Amino acid sequence: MEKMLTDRKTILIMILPALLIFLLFIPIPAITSIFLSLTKWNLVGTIKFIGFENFRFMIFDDYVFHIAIKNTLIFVVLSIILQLPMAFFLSNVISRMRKYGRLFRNIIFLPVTFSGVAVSLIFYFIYHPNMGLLNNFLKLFIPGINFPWLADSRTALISVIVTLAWQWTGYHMVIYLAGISTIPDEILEASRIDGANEWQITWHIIFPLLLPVIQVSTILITTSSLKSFDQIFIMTFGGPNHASEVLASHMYTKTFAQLNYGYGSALSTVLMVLCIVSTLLLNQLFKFSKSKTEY
Amino acid sequence: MEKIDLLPQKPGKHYVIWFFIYAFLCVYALLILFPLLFVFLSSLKTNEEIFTSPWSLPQKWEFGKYVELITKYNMGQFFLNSIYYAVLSVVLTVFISAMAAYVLTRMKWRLKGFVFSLILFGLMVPIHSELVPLYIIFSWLGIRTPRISLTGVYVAFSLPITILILSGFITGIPREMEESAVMEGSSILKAFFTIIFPLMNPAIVTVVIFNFITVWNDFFAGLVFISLDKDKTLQLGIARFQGNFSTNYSYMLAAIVLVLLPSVVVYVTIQDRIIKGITTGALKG
Repeated sequence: MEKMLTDRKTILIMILPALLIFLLFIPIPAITSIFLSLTKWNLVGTIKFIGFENFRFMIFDDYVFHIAIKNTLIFVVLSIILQLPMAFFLSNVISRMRKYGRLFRNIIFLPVTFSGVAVSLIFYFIYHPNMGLLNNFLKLFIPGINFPWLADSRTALISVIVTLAWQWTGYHMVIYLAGISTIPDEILEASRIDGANEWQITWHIIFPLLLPVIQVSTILITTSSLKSFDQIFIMTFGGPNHASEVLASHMYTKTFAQLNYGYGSALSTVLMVLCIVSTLLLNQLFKFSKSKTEY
Repeated sequence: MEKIDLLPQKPGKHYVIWFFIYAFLCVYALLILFPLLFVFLSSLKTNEEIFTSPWSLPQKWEFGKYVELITKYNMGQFFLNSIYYAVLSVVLTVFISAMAAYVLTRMKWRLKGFVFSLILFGLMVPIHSELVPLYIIFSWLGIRTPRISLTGVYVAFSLPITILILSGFITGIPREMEESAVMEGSSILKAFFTIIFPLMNPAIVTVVIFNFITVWNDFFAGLVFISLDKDKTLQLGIARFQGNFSTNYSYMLAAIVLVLLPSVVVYVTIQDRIIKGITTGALKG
């Protein structure tokens, strides 16, 4: 057995398909992207090497990129504020329910299974100035309202962020519920017998034990905000006048609408670096706060 | 789930709190379900009705629109294309990842640690940041059909998480399982497929559900790689209703319903498995 476990032929047969596909589709394009980010190219002409010009332009002159970065930050912060506390509250309430807990969990999770496109189209309709659900509802209080939620630069981005919160809060709720279910009943029972009330149990027992799961959901919400594209593409197309532009939509427009493959690659590289760095940074941050709270 | 008994010390106070909690949850559930119902009912109305009487029930239930979407607007074709990409890429992913996961957990070789961390590193690389270079590489290679390139993209980006989940599961299978088979003269490869692979069933169900939903719901990769109508997936197919048919809302709404209907039906039948499947990835990482 031991000898067979080191058999090179078997190892190669079993690992090569995965390794080849992985290398061809993940590290190789990443390197290609870094190389092309130093060029100016429209896919058919010759590749012109221009050094760091793309990055210089991005940082100093590309005001759309600046808006996209600002919007991405707003996206991350507002998504965390809108989704995580609500998910934490819902999971704490539902895990204590004797009846209907599963029903509520499954209803709230339902939109997670939907595609970004379908949800975006639903909300495109809900936000519609004349026939949307939102304005029709508001008409009961403010007659004649026809506010264009997605076409007004003040509300376009926040409308999209609310759409994502509608879809994804249930996801974070479910991973918190899974986290809560791993907490041994004896711990909770013992503290109840010691006279702790539910509020204290939530904050002094459940919350600290859930921190690793909250860490995961913070990282997920950050990287998925960095990557947000479907909703922006369908609902606002980055508009009006770039007010809701994000990194991925800017990258798409530059590459496939303006055929600037060099600059598109530079934006891809930035997106990749931001995703990796924020994942590592958040991991470190949580490790740091953990080592400080352990005593 | 329903396990914690609230101690009935002050029953009056608890009843009030629970009343508000239930009320809040009902409002929340309504916020999820009502828009879906509204979209469904509106999809059965005429364009004019949507505009003039948003709150009333449809005067005439126009199911003909749905038939028209399938026959005239290619929704049937889009559905089959989505099935093609989802099924093919999930089957390939599962076989390739299962073998890799076995080699990365059980077999002994020098580069094992390196390859494993390389693949885990891939978890952090978003598909979005690779679409531009991948598009360029495939046009260099002259591969124009998305049936190959897009399937490859889906498989590649499903690999890291699938390998991670399956490795975790294989570690929990006792070594004696394949040892006895190997003692009787079977090769590792044969022992893997006849003994280990069937034992991995629960983990495989999880990764199949997770990857199927991810591929089925993908929009960005499809948008980059698919240009012809005949290759389009459902997501691309309904996305165009926003632009081209922007004055004809009832068709857009019917298209949404048509796309969501299978999802909802599947979800209602196997909801607990789907919830587990979608969230396992998060908990492992």
